[in-house]
Amino acid sequence: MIETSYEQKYTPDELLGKVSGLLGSSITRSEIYRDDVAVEVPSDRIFSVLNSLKSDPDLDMAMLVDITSVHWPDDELEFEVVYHLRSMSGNLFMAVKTRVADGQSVASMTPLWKSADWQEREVYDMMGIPFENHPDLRRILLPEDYQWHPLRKGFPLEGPDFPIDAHQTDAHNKVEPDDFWGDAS
Amino acid sequence: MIGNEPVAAGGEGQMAEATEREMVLNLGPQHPSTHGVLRVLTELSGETITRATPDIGYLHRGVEKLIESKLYYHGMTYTDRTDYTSAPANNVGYILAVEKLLGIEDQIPERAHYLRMIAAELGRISGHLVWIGTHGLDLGAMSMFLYAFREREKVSGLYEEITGARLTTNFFRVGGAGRHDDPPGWLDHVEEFADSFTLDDFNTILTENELWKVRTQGVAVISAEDAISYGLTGPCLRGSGVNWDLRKARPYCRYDQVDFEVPVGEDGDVYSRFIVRLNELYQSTYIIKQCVARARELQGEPANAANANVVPPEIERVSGWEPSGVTGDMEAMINHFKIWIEGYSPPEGACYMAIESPKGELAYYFVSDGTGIPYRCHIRSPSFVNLGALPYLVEGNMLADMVATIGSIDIVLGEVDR
Repeated sequence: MIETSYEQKYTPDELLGKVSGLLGSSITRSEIYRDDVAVEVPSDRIFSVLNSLKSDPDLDMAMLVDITSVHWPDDELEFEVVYHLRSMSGNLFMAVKTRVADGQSVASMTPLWKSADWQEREVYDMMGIPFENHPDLRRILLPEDYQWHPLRKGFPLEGPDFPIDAHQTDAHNKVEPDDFWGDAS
Repeated sequence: MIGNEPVAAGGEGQMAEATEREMVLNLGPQHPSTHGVLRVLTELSGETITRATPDIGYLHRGVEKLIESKLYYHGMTYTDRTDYTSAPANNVGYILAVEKLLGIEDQIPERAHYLRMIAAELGRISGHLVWIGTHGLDLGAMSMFLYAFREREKVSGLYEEITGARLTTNFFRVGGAGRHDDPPGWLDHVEEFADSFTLDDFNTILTENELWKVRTQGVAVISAEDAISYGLTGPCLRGSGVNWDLRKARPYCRYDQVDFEVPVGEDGDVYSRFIVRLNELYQSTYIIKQCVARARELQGEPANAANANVVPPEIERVSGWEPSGVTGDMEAMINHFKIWIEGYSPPEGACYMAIESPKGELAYYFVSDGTGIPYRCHIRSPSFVNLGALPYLVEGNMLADMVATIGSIDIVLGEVDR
C-alpha cells in the first residue's frame, strides 16, 4: 500500500529551498513561474540529480510524470530536456531541465523509472535527442525509416518530403493515363 | 518449447511439422479489440505470451507541431481530436493551461468554472461509457455495448444542445465559457440525465457476472509500486490501490468546492480497474448534480472574464444588432479584430497544467516566447504513458487476456499517437 497525501507538504518557495539544499551546486538556474518550481542542471549530472530527488525521503519524487523537450536553435546548447516529477506522499510537483547540444546524448532514466522507456523514445523520435543506456531506442510514433525529427524548429510544417511537384499542374499533365495505369490496361 | 525437438531442416523431405510451439502473432492494427489502430507484435509459446511489442503511431497527426504553428485559440480544436471519447475534458485541460500561462486564472467567473466542470464530468461519463461498452464487447458481453451507447447517446445530445456538435465539441474559450452560453433548459436536461443515470444495468450484467469475474479477476495484475514506476495515472493507478486524483490533489476549476469520493481498487487487476471506473461514473453524476445546483444559483452572472485582451466583445457590439437596437461601436470592432487576428500573447515562460482526464493525468506543457503562437506545446497524454505498461501487464498471460488488458487500460489511439 502506497501512502498518499492531498496536503501539499511544501509551498513552492519551501520546495525550491529544499531542492537547492539537496542539490547544491548542481543547480545552474532555478525559477518559480506560475507556482511551478523548475531547476536546471548540467546534462552530465542529470541522472544523479533525478536519482537523489527520487530517493530523498523528504521529497520522495516517486513518479516521473513526463519527459519532453524544447528546441532553442539560436543557443549553443540547442536542446532542452524537461523532466516533470511528482511526489504522491507529499503532493509535490517540480520540473528539472537540462540542456544539450545537437548530437549530444542524455543519460536514460530507464534504470530509475520504467515510464522513461516510451517517453524517451518519443523525445528521440520527435526531437532527435539520443539517450544513453536506453534499452530500446527506436522511433515510436513515426515510421522507422523516417529521416527527420519534426519538432525541431527548422522542420517545415508540411514536411520536407512533401512532393512539391505534385502541386504543380505541369507535373500532373506529364502523367498520361496509360503511364498511370501501367500494363494493367 | 516443451517436449518436442524442432525438426532438422531438410530431413528426408519432411515438412516442418507443427512441433514448433512458438509463433509470432501480429495483432492489429485493424483488429477491433485493439480499440483503434494499435498493433501488437506478440510472441507466443503455445497460448502464453512471452513478449509483446506494441507498435503505435498509425494515427500520428503531429498535433503538437500543428499547435505550435497557430494562435492559442486555434490549437483548441485539435484537442477535441486527441481523446475523442471525452472531448470537453481535453478542451478544459487546454484552456486551463493557456489561462495559467496568461496568469488569468483568478479572473475566471464562478459560473464558467461550474459550466466547465459539468462539461468535463459529462466527458468523463461519455468516455467511461465508450470504454465499458467496448470492453464488454471484447470479452463477449455483447449487450453491454448497447446499454452503454444508449446512455452515451444522451450525453451526446447534451453536448449537441450546448455546442452544436456531438463529438468534437470545442467547448468553451480561454477566459470563460465562450459565447455559447448554456441555452435555456440545458441545466434541467443535464440534471434529468444525472438523476436518471444508473449503474444497475452494468452491475447486473457485469459486476456480479461469474463469467466476467473469471475473465477479469487476477488478470494483468500490477502492484502499486510498479504502477507508479510505469507512470500510470487515473483509474489504472487507483485500481492498484493508490489514492491519487488530481481533482483532489491539485484542484482546478472548483473541484475543491464540491463533495465527491475517489474510488480506489485493491487488487490491481482488470476487475479492480473496472470497479474503479464504474464508481467514477457514479461520482461524476454526483458532481454534476452539485455543479448544476451551483450554476443555477449563478444564472444571469457573466460567464466570461472582464478581460478585453483575451475575451472578444459580444458580436452585437461589433456589428450591431437591429432587433435589440444595439449599434456597433468602433472600439469593439478593433478589439474583435485584434483578438481574432493577433490572438493574445502570454509573457515569456513555461508552465505545466495537469487535469484528471477520464484516462488519467492529461497535461499541457506550454513554452511561450512572448508571441501569440505557442513556442512549444507538449501534450502529456495519459493513454500513451499507460499503454507503455502493456508489455509488462500481458507477459506470461494467455493471449485471450491481452484483449481484456488492452480494454482495461482504456486507451484512445487518437490520444496515444496525437
